[in-house]
Amino acid sequence: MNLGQARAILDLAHSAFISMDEEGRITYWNIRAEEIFGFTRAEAVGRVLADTVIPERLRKTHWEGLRRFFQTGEGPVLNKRLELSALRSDGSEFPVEITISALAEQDGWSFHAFVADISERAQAAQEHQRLLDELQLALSGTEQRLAVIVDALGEAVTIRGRDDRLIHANRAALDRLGLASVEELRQADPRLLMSGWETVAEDGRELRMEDLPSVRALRGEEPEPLMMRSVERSTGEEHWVLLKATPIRDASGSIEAAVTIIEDVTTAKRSSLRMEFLARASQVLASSLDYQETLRNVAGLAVPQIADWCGVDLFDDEGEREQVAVAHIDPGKLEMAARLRAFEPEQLDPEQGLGLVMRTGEATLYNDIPDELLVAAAVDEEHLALLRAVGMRAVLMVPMVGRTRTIGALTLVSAESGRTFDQGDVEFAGQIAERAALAVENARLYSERSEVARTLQASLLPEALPELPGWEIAALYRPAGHESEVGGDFYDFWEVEGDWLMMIGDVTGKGVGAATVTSLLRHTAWAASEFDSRPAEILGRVDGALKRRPSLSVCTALCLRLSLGRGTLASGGHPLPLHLGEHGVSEVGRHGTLLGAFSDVDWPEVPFEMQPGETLVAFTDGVTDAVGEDEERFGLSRVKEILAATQNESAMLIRERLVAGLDEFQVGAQADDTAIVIMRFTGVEATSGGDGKISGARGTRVA
Amino acid sequence: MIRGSPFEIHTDLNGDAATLTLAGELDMATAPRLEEAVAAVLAKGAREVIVDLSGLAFVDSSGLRLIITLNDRAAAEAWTLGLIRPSARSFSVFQITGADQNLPFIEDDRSP
Repeated sequence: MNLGQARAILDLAHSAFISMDEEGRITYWNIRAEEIFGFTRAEAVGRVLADTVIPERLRKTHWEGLRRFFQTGEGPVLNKRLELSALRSDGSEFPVEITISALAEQDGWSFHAFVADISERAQAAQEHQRLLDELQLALSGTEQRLAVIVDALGEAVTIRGRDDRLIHANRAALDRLGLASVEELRQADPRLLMSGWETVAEDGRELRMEDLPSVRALRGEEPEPLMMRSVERSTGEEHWVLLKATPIRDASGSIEAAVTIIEDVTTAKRSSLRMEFLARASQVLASSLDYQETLRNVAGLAVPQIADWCGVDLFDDEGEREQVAVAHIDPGKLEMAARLRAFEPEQLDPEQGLGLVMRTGEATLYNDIPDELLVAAAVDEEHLALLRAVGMRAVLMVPMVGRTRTIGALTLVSAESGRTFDQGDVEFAGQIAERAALAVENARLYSERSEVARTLQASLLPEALPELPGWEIAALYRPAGHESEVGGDFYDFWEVEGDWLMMIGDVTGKGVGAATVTSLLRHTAWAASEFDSRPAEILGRVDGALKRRPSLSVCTALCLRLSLGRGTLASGGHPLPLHLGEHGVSEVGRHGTLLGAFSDVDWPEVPFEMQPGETLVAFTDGVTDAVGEDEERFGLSRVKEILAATQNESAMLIRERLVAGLDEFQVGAQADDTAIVIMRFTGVEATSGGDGKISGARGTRVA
Repeated sequence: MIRGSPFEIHTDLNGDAATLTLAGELDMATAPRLEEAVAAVLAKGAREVIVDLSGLAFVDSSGLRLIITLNDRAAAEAWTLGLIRPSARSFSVFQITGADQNLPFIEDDRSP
């Protein structure tokens, strides 16, 4: 997924999303940002971020942080939730929660932030603090007075006595605890009461009664507010609550009770967790074209904050599923998933589960999965035992919708956390699935392109090298760069009038454009050789064909006509072949003008002779232009050196030596296409009457 | 990939005569910059464009193709292109491709 596409989705996001470049200028501003800050996208993009949304007193810190990041690579504020002040277009300040991430792109760093307006949350927090202070001041008196005031509050408030038992709770708190009256509360064992919930801190640490702020306040500590996730065991309902406690002292000053205000922050907390997850998932999804790995990474991010299990399945056209990812925080449990998978059919049932999601393209949610459902789904006892061991509480499956069909599904499972999923979860999972689907389709599109390129490339090269009597042939073709691109080098062998023609060349450019020219070249050369198989004539025809193209199409090409022990050649701007014989290595032929470029040119045709054991090596400039240390080029002299050391070796072996020499020399990625053709005259006796023709050749014309 | 010596163009516009002095490697990556530089001086009224090749460490087929294109354009648009002082390394490419016989290489009448 490229950044542009990622941004298209971010426009749909519920949080403000802002991007900034290295200079600190705003490069992206989504619809929510327009709402929160009061600047339109057109107004915001291009402006300096600091001058737009950061209060003046914080700007210096912003610039220093940016500078430090560039100098040291350290970004202590990155990838964590921060609470800061921000500026609206009317100059008013408001509190925001912000998560910033930095992305290394080709032309430098970019910075991205999710921003949520938390004015309401901040106001509520202030309000609570004021309430606590007032309570503490006003309530030095009796329990009854305390109860009266507490009951009047809309907030959930509990009072815990010296013996840790809860002695009072107002209506809101009783409802939260699922109790009918204060009497019931007073009689309950506080530990037993708490055991009805699974309670964990933000970091996943299990919370015991001793960790509660009220209990700590009773011990004389000054506890910080506690963010707690509680899942009611009986219903699976999940809540995030912020607990704040303050001690109540009697006349003598000793602590007689502790008051707790329970603020339900579920909505805010979930949205911030989701925001965090989406920010990371978007990054992961945009980071690679290996979608399988990407999906595994996203699934890994989802646990355990979003769900206990996260799985991703892809569907093919025939409705078969492929499980791409399954994640759980405990690796031991993954083994269980693998065993479970063995029981599931490849072909999905369109009436239930993933099959239903695939057929309808709609999310499916099962909350409170009863044992009967497991019994019905299990194929045998072992399967049932496994299903029970997973302990599924709820399952949410959302479709990954592609351009033309549902390409897969994201599955979230709640098990040991005991929580159930709600509509918010369905929508959120839908957003992740949407991003994931886009990432998968992009990656597939890319690999399809690569496949097209490979096929096209293959059509431009001989399927197999022909066997020429008296000659031993070896060749190499290595395109440079991305596999989705077609190279511009080519070579070909074909038979004409009992002789063989060899052509090697280099078309400027890459890709489909270059492939078209290469194809034109080959066909023109084949057709031309039917009338006149002299290399210079063939080059002339190709030159003419190139000039008839509407835009400048140039290429270099070398054409050889091989007979037994001799031949002729002409070069159209192509490096001359090297002759390797008893007396060393030397260039054969004369330079000629490249094809398709100039008018009034012709090509010198040069005859040559070969003794048995002698070799001709033709190549493209990818060989001589290969880049080594300190930008040094491989050069013709190195090619000659390697060849000089290969006296009497087979064509295959000479090829291996050249490749080894190039690989050893080359630094970094291969910059240019590389083609090499090696023709060694072995000098087996002619099968014909000594006319020099290679008749009876077993090779087929390559077309 | 990143290659060492950076490609640079120094432009000197004097009336309707422009001299573009190239340094570094003229290849697929850098050829568009030369094309832009030529377009820029033409836009400013240059009718004679001299390209100084003495600082070129390397020319690939894309670079060569651009120079051929510029030569064709000069003929069609009635301005003149001149190539001066080719470095040994760049000239070998022009020789191998026969472009030395077909492109407007001219003697440099200035002191080197």
